[in-house]
Amino acid sequence: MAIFVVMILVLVFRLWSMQIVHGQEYTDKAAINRLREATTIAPRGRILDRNGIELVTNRTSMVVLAPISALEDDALIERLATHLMITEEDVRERIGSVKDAPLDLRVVGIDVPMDTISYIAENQALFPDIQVAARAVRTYPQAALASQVLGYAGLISEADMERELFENYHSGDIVGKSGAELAFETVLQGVRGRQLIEVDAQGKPQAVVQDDPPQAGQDVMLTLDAELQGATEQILAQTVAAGIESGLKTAGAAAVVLDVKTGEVLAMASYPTYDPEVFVGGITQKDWEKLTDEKLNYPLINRAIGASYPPASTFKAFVGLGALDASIVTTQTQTTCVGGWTKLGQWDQKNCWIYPGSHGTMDMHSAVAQSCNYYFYDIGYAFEENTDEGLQKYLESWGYGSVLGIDLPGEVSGRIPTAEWKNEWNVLNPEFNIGAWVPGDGVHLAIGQGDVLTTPLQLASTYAGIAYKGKVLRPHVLKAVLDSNGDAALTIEPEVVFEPSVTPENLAWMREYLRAVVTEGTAYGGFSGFGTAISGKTGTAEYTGTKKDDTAWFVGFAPSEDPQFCVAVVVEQGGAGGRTATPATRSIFGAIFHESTTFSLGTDRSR
Amino acid sequence: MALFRYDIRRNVNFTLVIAVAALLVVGTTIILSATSAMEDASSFLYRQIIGIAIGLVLMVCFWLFDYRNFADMIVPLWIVNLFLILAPRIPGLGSTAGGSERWLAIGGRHLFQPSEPAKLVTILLFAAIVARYEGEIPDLLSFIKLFAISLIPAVLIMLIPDLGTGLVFVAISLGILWVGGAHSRTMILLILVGLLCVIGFVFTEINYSKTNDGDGRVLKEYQLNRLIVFVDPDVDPQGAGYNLEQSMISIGSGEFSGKGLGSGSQTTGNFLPERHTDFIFAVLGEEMGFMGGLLLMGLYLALLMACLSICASSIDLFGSLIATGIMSMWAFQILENAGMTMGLMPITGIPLPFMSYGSSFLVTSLACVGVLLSIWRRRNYQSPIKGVDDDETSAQSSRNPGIREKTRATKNNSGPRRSSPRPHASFLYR
Repeated sequence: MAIFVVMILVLVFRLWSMQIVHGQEYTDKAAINRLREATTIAPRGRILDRNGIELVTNRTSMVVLAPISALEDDALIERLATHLMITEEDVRERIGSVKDAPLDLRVVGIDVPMDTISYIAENQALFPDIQVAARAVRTYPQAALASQVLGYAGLISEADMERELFENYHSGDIVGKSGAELAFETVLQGVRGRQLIEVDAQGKPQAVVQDDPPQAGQDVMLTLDAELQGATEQILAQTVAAGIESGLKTAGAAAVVLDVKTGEVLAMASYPTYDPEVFVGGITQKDWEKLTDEKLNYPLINRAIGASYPPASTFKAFVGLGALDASIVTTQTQTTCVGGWTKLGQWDQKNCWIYPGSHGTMDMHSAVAQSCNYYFYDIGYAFEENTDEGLQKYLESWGYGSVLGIDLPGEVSGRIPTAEWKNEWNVLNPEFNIGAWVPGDGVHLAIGQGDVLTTPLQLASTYAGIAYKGKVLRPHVLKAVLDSNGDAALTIEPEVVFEPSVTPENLAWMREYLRAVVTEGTAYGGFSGFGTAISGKTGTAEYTGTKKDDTAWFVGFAPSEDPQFCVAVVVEQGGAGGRTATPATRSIFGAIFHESTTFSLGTDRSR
Repeated sequence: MALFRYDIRRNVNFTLVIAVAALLVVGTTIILSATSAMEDASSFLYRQIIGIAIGLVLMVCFWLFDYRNFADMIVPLWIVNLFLILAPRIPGLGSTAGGSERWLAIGGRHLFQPSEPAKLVTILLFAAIVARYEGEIPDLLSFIKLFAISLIPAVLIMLIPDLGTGLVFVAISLGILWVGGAHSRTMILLILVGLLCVIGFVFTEINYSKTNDGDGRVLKEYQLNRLIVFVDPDVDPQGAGYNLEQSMISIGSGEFSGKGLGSGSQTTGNFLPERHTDFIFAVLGEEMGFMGGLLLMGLYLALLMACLSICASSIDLFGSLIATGIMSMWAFQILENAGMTMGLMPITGIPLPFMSYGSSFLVTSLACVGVLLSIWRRRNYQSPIKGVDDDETSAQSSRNPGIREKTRATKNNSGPRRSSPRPHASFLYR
């Protein structure tokens, strides 16, 4: 009797252990058994310009979808390849590349012509389990406009999946890869539709337990003005073309237009550009190679934030302010320019750009207006003699050498060279030893040459700082995030990122000098006859020892009396600043103030 | 009929009948639920009810038939037994299912699985043989002889091959031998030696399959895999471990009150294999939960207790041994079947009494109930079991002179028997 009681007790105890003690674990396992999740992609939010013009939106594309089980059917793969006019390897790649989410369908063909869609839909016997559907894909109503700022979206990659930003993403998601698409990914991305499907042991769906429809992503309004952006891009293209025509090796160019009082980016152009449409539905290898070909000057790079150049004479505004701030000079200090500067010895003569000519007696007003190197060599020398890298520290206080934190990916910091940096460079690059810091480096820095590098955005933002209150605002391209009614759910307030040491008096002086550049100095010819008062500075960065043409700069703001807009233009291998960058800037200001200007290269060889 | 001349309580063991009736109701309900998602679902219920009907007819036949007649039928029982066991191997009669020849078929039509009725026949046969020792197996040699004889049907069944059913035969033999007078020490020794042999055998098999690609192995691939996954069900959940894994998920996810009849996701979603036959307990566990399991276990305990009571009150040793054999068979099948669904026992294909779909064992079990009732009806009223009225003894004896005569008659054929009450029920207190 005891045997039976014990036997039954053992069984009951086991039941109790499994059902009462561990019941929840088994219930979870049963749920894993029977429930499968299938999701559908939500349409991404649109990207609009500041006036609500669509820059990026979605269009409906006919796609062909296949389940992962299609991989086992060789004949089916062959038929798909034939009708979609792609190779069998491509078909297999597209179906098999996504490893998880076994119930989600894979996109095999995108933008499939209607007759192919109909054929597949009508011949289900030939295409078992293959579905045709309309999917929302990215489209660009303004074509290539602002392509580097907008960026592109694409299928999430395995590397993306490991990033924190994409923590809860599914494979198969369309995500921002660059530009605004990446920067505002979290709002642009909608919420995937989610279906909980009950399946049987064979995986056949039995019932839909839960069905949450997809929620579209939020629309994003940028600070860009589509019209101005278009004009800016066109002017850059015109400038490069004219530069090449005039015998220069002009390659690329960039321009930034900022709202001085808010830091809003009104236009940000980079030449060459690309057509973002090539990324829709996955870029082909051929197109990708084209976009990354050195000969085509890397159109994917946003040169306004992602490339840095020696600022050349545009730097004189900050060097001048630094000298005034450090009391190295006063606004009255005079120096006589004799062309060749030899304070570091006859063997180390540094020339003013006017050499073998000379500027004669200069104060800071005329030195900025005429872009006299000699005057600034003296300032650089004085900083070297009297301070411990005081010039570098001052320039860094304006944000040079660090990123401004614009709300776009890919911003580079540029570089302010120091003794420490040179030593580090030599350790890291022993094959390109540039030697220790010498006083001549500081002298070069004072005219924005040598190892110093800045981005067009840094120059635009810092000149906007001179134009406004001596404070550097964080530049931004996001104006607002819109809710489903089109109302702003989030707006951006101006934010000061750098507060350099500068008195209002010195700031006023410098604004006067920069105005003089246009009224009497190096940009006099370039802006003669222009209706709005412009202040600014030319710049010409030399590449000594290479066959490259000089980098041309113009950075300026207008109207001079109450600055609203700041424009920075850089033209790679554009020759002297007055030759290419100044006329480009004039045209951009023309677009801003609706003044008709005819574009013509400058003849000015001044720097 | 003479049967109903007396108080019906004397002829019917109500605990047994009510337990069996309740088990049949629960079993039929669960089968209905388990098969609801299958094609041709109603045919399962239909065939199960036909099985119950045939079983009930046989039960009444055995009830009315005096079981003591079987004591003199050793030779016919041997013949019937060997026929039933060997029938599936006879060309034209055997039929294959699940990789082994388990069915008796005529013209390709499956009739029944002869190994199931062979269980009852073996119980009767072995009880008759052991009863001749009058409750005292004198020496080890006799014990070994008896055990060897009992192994004949078991080994023949295992060669079909049907390991699980073979083990049922071993359990029957051990039960009858124990009650039939084997020394406890001998029994314990035998069980220990048996266990050691089995463990050694399994390890040799596993080694063989690892080293020689299975050459020289006795067990079939699936049998060995079942043993391996019994040790570790996670080895290959989609392969051999799948059944066990799904069965355990079904039972565990039933939790306290179950998911409701017909609402088990494991059952309706087809995750649980063999759910109307070998894994019917998992369906009950999933859909009726711990409460259902407790109910079933309670019914089985009542069934076995009824068997014990019948065994103890039997008028002769033969009846006690038959009851013991039936009890051993059911107990072993309950332990093995319910145990395997919960990972306590290796997986074999033996049915859960009165629950699993399949007429062969159902009819056999109901016939067993008939035999048990036959023993009960002719019981000794001086039962040591509490609650049986001792005063009735004299009345019963005088009213049933035929039974006494029969007892005396068999005495001459099968040697002296002790008269009742006798201490053969002493095992109850072991």
